[in-house]
Amino acid sequence: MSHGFAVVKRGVIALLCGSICLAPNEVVAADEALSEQAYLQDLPVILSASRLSQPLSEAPNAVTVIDRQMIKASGFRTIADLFRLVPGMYVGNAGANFPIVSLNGVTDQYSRRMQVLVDGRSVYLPPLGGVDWLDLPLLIEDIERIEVVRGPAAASHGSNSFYGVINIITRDAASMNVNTVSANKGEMGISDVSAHLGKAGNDFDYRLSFGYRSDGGDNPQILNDTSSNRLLNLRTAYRPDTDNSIDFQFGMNDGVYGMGTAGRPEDAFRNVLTTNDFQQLGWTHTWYNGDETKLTYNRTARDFTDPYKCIDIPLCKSSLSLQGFGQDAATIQRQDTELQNTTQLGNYNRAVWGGGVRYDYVDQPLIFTSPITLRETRLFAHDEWRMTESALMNVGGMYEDDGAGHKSTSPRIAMNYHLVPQHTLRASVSSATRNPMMAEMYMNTAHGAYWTNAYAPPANDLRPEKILSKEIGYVGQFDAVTMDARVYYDKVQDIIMLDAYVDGNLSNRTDSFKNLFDATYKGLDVSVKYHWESGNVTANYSRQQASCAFSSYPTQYFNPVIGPTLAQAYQTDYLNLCSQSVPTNGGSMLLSQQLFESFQYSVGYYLRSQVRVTDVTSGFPPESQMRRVDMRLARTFGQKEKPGGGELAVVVQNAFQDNYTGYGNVPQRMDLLFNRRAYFTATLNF
Amino acid sequence: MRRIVFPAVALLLVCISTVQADPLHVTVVLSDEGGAYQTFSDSLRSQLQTDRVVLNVQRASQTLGQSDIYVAVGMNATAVLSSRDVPTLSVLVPQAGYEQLLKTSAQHGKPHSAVFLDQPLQRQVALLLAALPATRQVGVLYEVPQPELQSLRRLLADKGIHLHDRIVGKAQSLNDALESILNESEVLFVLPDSEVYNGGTIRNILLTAYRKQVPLVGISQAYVKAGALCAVFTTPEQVARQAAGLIERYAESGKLPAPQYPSDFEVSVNKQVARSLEIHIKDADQLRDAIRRTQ
Repeated sequence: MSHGFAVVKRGVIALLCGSICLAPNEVVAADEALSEQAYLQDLPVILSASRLSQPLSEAPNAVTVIDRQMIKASGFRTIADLFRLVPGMYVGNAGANFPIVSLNGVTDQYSRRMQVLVDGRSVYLPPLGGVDWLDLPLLIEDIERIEVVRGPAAASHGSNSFYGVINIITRDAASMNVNTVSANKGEMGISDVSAHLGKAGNDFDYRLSFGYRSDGGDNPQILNDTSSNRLLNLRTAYRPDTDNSIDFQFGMNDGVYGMGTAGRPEDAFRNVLTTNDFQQLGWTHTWYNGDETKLTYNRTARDFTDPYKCIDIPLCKSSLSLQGFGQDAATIQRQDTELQNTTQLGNYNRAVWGGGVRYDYVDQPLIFTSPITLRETRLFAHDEWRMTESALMNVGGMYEDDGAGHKSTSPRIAMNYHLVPQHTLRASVSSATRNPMMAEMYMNTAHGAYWTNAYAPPANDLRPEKILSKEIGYVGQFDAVTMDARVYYDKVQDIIMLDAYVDGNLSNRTDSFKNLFDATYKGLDVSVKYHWESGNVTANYSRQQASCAFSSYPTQYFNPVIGPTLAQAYQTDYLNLCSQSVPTNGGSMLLSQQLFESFQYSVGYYLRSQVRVTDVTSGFPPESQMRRVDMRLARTFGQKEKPGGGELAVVVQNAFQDNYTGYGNVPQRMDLLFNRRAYFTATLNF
Repeated sequence: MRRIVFPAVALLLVCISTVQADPLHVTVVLSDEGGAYQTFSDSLRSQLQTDRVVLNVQRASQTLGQSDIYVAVGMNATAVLSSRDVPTLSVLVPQAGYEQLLKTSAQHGKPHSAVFLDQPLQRQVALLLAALPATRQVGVLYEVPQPELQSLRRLLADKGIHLHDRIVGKAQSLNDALESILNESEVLFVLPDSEVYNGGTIRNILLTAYRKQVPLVGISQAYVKAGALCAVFTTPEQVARQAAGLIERYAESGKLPAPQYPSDFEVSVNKQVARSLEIHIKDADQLRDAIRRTQ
């Protein structure tokens, strides 16, 4: 056969030629750019399981995402206002410098039933709970996106993820490719300026933002709701090698916030001073198989000084000599350490599990007899089980000990089924607990020394509030349209409320806190997004109903002397008004359209039917219906996100002057309006 | 392919054994130790495992022994052998690097051929069409001018897809080029340019693309593991099977065919990334079948 001979011939030739020798130094190095390394190089796992966000169609809860584009198009200057873009969410104001944000209705101006995280750090602070939205050391321009989980999510977001979770994700230091200065100037004393600097490198990135923000308030003659704030925020990321990353964040701000109501001597016009700072250090290690371990430590400190707090209301009211006032100072510190692992278990399971310890300290002499320290510990585990190509189960839970004698477990199970890849049904049952806040457990003041009445710690231990939420949802895609809808039924037990006249003394009213109410919330919400080549629109609608009943009775409910009056008051002021604590209809629509080459136009429409915050009692009207339109027109110049480029814009809020009223639990506040306001913004990249 | 090559090689070697006692000397010259080079070498050995073939393996830096044919694994080994007048089959080499090297080397008429690492452009475009059929805007980044860019542009244009490109260099940093290309593109198509895509830059590229919800189409399994959506590539084992076939033809005819693209290939899909980006992508086998149907 010919091939046999051919082999022989070449074999002989090779033998005759002898061996071919090459010295090592004769090796010609191939041009690096043309070498095979581009194909053969090993690369680190970058988009690891924990870095990939769950798509909305596979999340165990309904989630609303507000991204940078929406933040800009909305024209909003404050973070709290952004939540108007979330179906079912209440955004109100106890004055222009005290925004209130809540789901499932609001009890009072301290919205205590949502977890709020900034890059995983809880900013829901003691002693009263809730978030002081204007006083966060965070500039709105530094937000990459906000994910709002509508429903209990303790299994994945920790304690107090009760009605929902607001998860704010700031811009990655690595995303900073240009420096920016921006300024806002407008009516009602709007005057903001900020600078955002940053640089991304191969192993080190940083971004640094600082700014000043000031607002003259909505109704400065009646309500001292001015605010000004200086902020600094730094984020760095260092990657010593491909498997490890160290993220450090630091932020601080000091604010001056007006307080006081005209005609109320006990609520005199004055300025409250605050300082906040935080440090956060995170170490992320990616294992060879893509699993990830993350260890995070953060520390938050907040100081608050009200220099002219009325500490003797009768004296403040009666005296013309300005007596009865004192200083209300609070020092709040939090430290939190958490270890979180993301583990791929076989091909079909991805688990997130870990634990944490949190230490809270509050010293506020006016309401607590001594400083209070709590140490909360928690364990959590969550598994995403891909049962089949179409079916996904999310199952998990959290165990928590709040350090005040309350131990609780919050499980969750959700099933997502892809009817076809573009259409998904979700059914979930989830639970969460809200631990009593320090003020509810330990507040101890004399009559008129802090608020109108005296407050005493509860005689019987408070139980954590519990929520069980059942939900059926749908997530669908139709070409350029995405849709997210759900119906839900939430059962809340043991809501902590004021326990009035707790000692039965009629002449010197002393209140306490007690688990008093059960509530049910049911409703539906729908979000639709549509995008086309030069624009997009997002529309949200929600319909809600609430009902409440006693779970146990106020301490003096059966007192023969005051019981009947008390029963009547609870019926009139709480139970009868419960259905008003949620707006029956709510919605928003944000349209953004590119015009020509360099203009962008956006319109926001915000609808909310009347609503009553629970502590606005029957003697006051509810907040009236809101039908508000905001508009923004921007002109860009230069290249986008390039030095020399930038934008000029004008924003008009409440453009058609819809006369809707806000939160008001005293006569002077109940008719205050949010007036039309316009402001200009200028942004320059360098 | 495996089904065809195995019997063919076996038959060849049976024939050799009956007619010719002298074994075929094959020397595999590795550019480096370990990794894909070693995998190729081990696989080729198993393909040619018989006492009628003597297979030696050595590093490019070592003194070359005598052999009937040399298999240069990688560019360094190819560089060594291109200056020698010996029959050589290069594997695990990119087309551009191979052609440039041969252009500058003195040729003495001995057969020299290659199985490239690159996939033919048609195959890469077929993957794009099968994986992301709605795509209309594709972006590429490069620092070293890419000879195939115009062909790629034409191929995509035929399918109604516009190709955007940015050159990374002194005039435009990687970050600037990346931001700019991602703003225009629905998919970032990786070109084999290790100046742009390497262990130091891939993090920023993947994270930025992910943030902008733009998937990457990679050029190797490593890209998919790192976070690219999908890639079409040829494994060292597949190259070894093709190389074994070419050695057979050489044994038969004393000739090597023209340098060629790999005939067999794999498709890899990062399902987690697809899910997170809400891309409804077919699975790897379906994509591979879809590509095959276009060829």
